[in-house]
Amino acid sequence: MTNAIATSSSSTRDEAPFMTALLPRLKATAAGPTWLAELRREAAAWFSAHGLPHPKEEAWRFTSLRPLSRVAPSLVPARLSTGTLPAGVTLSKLDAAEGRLAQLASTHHAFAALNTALFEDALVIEVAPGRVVEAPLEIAHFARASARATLSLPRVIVIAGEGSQLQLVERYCAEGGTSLTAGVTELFVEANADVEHVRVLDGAPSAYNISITAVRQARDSRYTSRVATFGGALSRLDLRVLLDGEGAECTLDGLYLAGDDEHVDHQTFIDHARAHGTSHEKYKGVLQGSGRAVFDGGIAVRHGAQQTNAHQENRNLVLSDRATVNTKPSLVIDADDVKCSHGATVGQLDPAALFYLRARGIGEAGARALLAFAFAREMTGRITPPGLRRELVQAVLERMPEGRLLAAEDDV
Amino acid sequence: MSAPMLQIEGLFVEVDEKPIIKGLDLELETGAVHAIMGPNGSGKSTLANVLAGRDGYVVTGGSVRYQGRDLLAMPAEERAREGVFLAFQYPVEIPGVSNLYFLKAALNAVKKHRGQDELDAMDFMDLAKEKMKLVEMDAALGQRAVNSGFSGGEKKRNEIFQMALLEPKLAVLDETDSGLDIDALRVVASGVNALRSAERSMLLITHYQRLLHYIEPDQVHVLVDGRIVATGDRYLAEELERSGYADYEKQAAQRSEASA
Repeated sequence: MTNAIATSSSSTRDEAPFMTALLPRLKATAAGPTWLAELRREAAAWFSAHGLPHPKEEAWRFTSLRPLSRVAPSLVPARLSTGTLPAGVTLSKLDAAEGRLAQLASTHHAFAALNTALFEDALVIEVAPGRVVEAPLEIAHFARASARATLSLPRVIVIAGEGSQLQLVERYCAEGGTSLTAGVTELFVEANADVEHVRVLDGAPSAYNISITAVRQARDSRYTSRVATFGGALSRLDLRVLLDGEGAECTLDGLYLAGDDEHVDHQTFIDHARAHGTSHEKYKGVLQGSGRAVFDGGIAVRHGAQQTNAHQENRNLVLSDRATVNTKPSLVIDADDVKCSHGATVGQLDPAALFYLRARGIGEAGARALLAFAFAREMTGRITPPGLRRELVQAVLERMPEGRLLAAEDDV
Repeated sequence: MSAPMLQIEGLFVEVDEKPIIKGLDLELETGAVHAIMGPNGSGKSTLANVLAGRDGYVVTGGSVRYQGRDLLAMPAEERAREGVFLAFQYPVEIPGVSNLYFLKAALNAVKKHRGQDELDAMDFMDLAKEKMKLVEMDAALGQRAVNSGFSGGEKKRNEIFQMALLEPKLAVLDETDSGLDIDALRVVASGVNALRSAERSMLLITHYQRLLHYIEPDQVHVLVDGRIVATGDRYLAEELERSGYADYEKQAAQRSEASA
């Protein structure tokens, strides 16, 4: 260990076990075809030089990486599994992603750089132009328990051709044992294409998931993201959507739950780069025990992106006085003919509603559970595949205080 | 002789440390319908909320017995399960919870408490449909979130619909007539009348005598400054309609000056 530090030429922060464990890998010859090797070298150099983000960086102010920096992980294969491949979806070779890979997820982001430098295998998903894929495509990543701390780097590229339609369900699960998953998913939504992207993260104690989803939308395309994050020692998602063609529309929905010793962090950024774009964003969170949540919602409306319509909402329900929420909307508007609005709330259960339920015979615990579930239900209700919706409802109930008191009926 | 449905003796209640009810006595027999009338600020809604067990209403004296038992010792949900029902003056909107899901949970909580079998979804729906007819309620309101976006009249009908489902022994109707147009008032009143029975007592709390054209009470009490100042039959209500509360309020003011 001491030797590794002595030979490292980087800054002192690299002395953290995390960097020490990874530096030899980052110095090794970059694998893959020439175009990729070039990207990997650049990413490795950037990450080696910068290391883990500093707590003073704005994007990491409320999310501490100190526990993670003490972990010395070993790289394990990311093992992304796909469900049955629906008709119309092609899994392509990595070369099909040349010119696209790492174009949306910046290599100047620690975890994107780490992934680009070291990912072992990427899933390249293509939908041919005009193709309407009827069944949802499921992809899953499972961080398995291991005696040693593990690092896995799932990498996904989705290219939805012009006028195509796809529903993608992406899942991250973890079991006990210390693990870091740093996934990168890049989606190219071509002109007039329509992608609905459900992302479910089921966290576990000692499971760190710090992932990036980056989307580029061409003209008249639709992208709908539905994020459900259930706890985790640290579950962080950076979701960036670039509306890079006129008339593009995106919807970003999110539901997050955090309980004791759990920390969830959602950083979304919607970049309205062209005119006539629309974005709707709504994230809701339920906090219990010593749970912590961070929401940072950035919206930029670039010069010339006239007739932009952007709406953002972040609502938090705090069920414990030990829970913490940091919510920060930030809008930067450089066009003059736009409609933008945002709102953030952090609140508790409505005492008037609680009394109303109790005055009808519903016990206090059941009334609290019902109201908390009703708050979350707005978001699960938007999940369209019925099987998945029921599964998420069940997951929410299991994580709610007294959720077992409620019937897991669809009609709650 | 069995105990009266409701027996209030020397009740004192404070809200935010301010005395609102100041020595109230009232007895309601099983099967009786009494009206409580009074001007704004006389303590009508405070009485309704105290009976239902709302937090923030502090009883500083007196007692309330419900079928001979100490009502004030029971938490709100237990009162409801034991058969006390408050029709809210301002029914609460609860987004995200469907009206029927809420009522099925409520009805089954009551049934469980009484040692009866809980209803399954099918049986509940049949029962709900039957009871909705009673208040001419649009079936679509069952699927909607509790009171969310309901008109004033729909909210009040929803209260009576809930009362019909839960079949209370003692119903306290807190200004159920306020804010209703005459058609809505007729519907609500006929729903209430249909629920009158020899086993059920009702306390109609109202500001306006108009309601009593449609629901005929056995007794009328006048509540002024936290006390019952007059009790009579329904002609007392008609007299109030003509003369107003002014005389009673003047007397109450003299009384509090005298005691000061």
